[in-house]
Amino acid sequence: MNPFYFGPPAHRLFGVFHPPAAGGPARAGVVLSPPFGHEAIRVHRFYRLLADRLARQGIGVLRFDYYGTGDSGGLDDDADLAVWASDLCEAHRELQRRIGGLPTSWFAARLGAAVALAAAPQSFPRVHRMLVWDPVVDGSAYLAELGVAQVDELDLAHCIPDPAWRRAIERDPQALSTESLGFSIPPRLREQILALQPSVAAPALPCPLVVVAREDDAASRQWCAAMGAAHPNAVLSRQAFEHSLIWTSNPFANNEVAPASALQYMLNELS
Amino acid sequence: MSTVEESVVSFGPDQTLVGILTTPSADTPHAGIGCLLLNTGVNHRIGPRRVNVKAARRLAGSGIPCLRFDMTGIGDSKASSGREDYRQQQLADMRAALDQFQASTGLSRFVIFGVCTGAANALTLALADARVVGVLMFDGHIFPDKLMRLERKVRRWLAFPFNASLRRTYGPWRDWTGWLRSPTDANARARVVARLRGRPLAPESESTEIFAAGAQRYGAGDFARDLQTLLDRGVDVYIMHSAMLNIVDRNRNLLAQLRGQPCLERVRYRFWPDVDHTLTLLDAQRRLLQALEQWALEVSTAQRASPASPARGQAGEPARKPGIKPNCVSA
Repeated sequence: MNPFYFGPPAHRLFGVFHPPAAGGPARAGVVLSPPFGHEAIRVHRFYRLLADRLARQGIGVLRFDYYGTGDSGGLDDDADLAVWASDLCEAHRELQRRIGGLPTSWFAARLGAAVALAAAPQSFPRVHRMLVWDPVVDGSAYLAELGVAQVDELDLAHCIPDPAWRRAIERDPQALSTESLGFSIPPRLREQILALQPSVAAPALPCPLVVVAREDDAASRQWCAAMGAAHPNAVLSRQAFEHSLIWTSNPFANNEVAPASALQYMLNELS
Repeated sequence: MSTVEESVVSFGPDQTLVGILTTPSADTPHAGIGCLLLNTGVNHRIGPRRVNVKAARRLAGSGIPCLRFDMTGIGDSKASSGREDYRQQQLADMRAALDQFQASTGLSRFVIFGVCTGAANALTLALADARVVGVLMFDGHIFPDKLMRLERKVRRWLAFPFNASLRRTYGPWRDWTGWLRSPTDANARARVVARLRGRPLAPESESTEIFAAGAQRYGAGDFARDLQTLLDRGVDVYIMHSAMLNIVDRNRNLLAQLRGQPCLERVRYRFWPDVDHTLTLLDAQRRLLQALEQWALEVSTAQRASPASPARGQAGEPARKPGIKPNCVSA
């Protein structure tokens, strides 16, 4: 495992390269595209374990942080889906450079999926395959969900919580959407998230796409239908998968940090 | 804030610990001390809500280099292959971090910042290593008395009928009202039945007992003794508490069991009535980080006035080879 910075000096990104185990040549590559904000912290362990296990199977893996997140340069207020899409393409090129241009797939969870879908048409060399997990395809619902999580957290963390927080999101689900669980949602990012709608297809993809989502996730089902209608030749499949990971929970012992079933599922899909 | 430099460092036995060193730009006057930022729970080195990144950049902008790193088995640091006790391993990791920090920067005096479990670890390191000249513990050890606990209960009972948010945090209330709203819901019924049997299906709150594995009982007397040890050594001790346990704090209520101990009056102490334990609100982060920066600069000023140079560590071990892997970034 090799942590390093890459990208131009004014836009440095932090990444961790997992070379194929046993020092042999890679047979393929995978870039792991993280979710946003607290969810990225929540799945840090999951991503590391997934990368470790893929590397054991001879796959070169790159984990990285978007600009303004994690260990990368930039501030919270730099958050921008278009910039992050460019970051993903940069990470893709970096991994390609390290593994000698082998076919490279992308794995992306939650808002990371929106980033990956926006980045895929720009990818060069072309991304080989994409796997998105519980993708955010309904931006309005996503912000509302983050708002509830924010209030739940504040309620738990105060001896006597302020009922005004919950009243605010009950009146307007977007009322607290300028920040989420300690991370800023600047106006541009908020607009970009709100533009995500299950009825609106992404641009045509240059590779097959696998959508892994809960059975009852109607938004992803609707979005897949919209993609199929907009791009009849697209190679797209949706797989129902239930898991115990709560995206917005803290990584404590009462919610599995990296559910084994999810880890095995993604490993099987990517290797 | 002036530009700072960030680089990846790998250190410790077999170079398996991973950290990010944040240093001031060349034109920033150096403060003469460094700040070590510790993990909180199992959150990786960016800290809860990325607050360690913000702290490191802010302090480095004021001339204080920072090292934030992952302890063994957390974040990107590998699990230990040794047989050391968990706590001994953590202390060894933190001392290795100071060795690396010293080798990378040439500094020999450090302050430590820790939140929650990080606060407890900060105290452990400060006691064990003479290079530590300041320690800021946010929501670390608490020793409230019975009166304070009673006051907390009374306040919550009084607020209960009028505060829907408070009621939602109370497990039995959630389960019973959930069942009353959906009497045919099998899951809701199961939760109530489990309550009646005295075995709730879900924990009442997030438990951190896993981090207490192997811990010996640590009481107010131990804490007072440890604080006194640090104060006698000239360590600047700052204790901060959030509003998680109570909404007011009179006369250092959260350390009430230490009343009468001289150390209690000599430590810095601040209660934040509007800052939560996990720094959920951006405004809370800003204010806490401002206080951290101000304190660190005060420690720096005091250290400049103190001619004595601390030893390299009480055990007298030599600093390890740097093993630094420079990989700079402008932030």
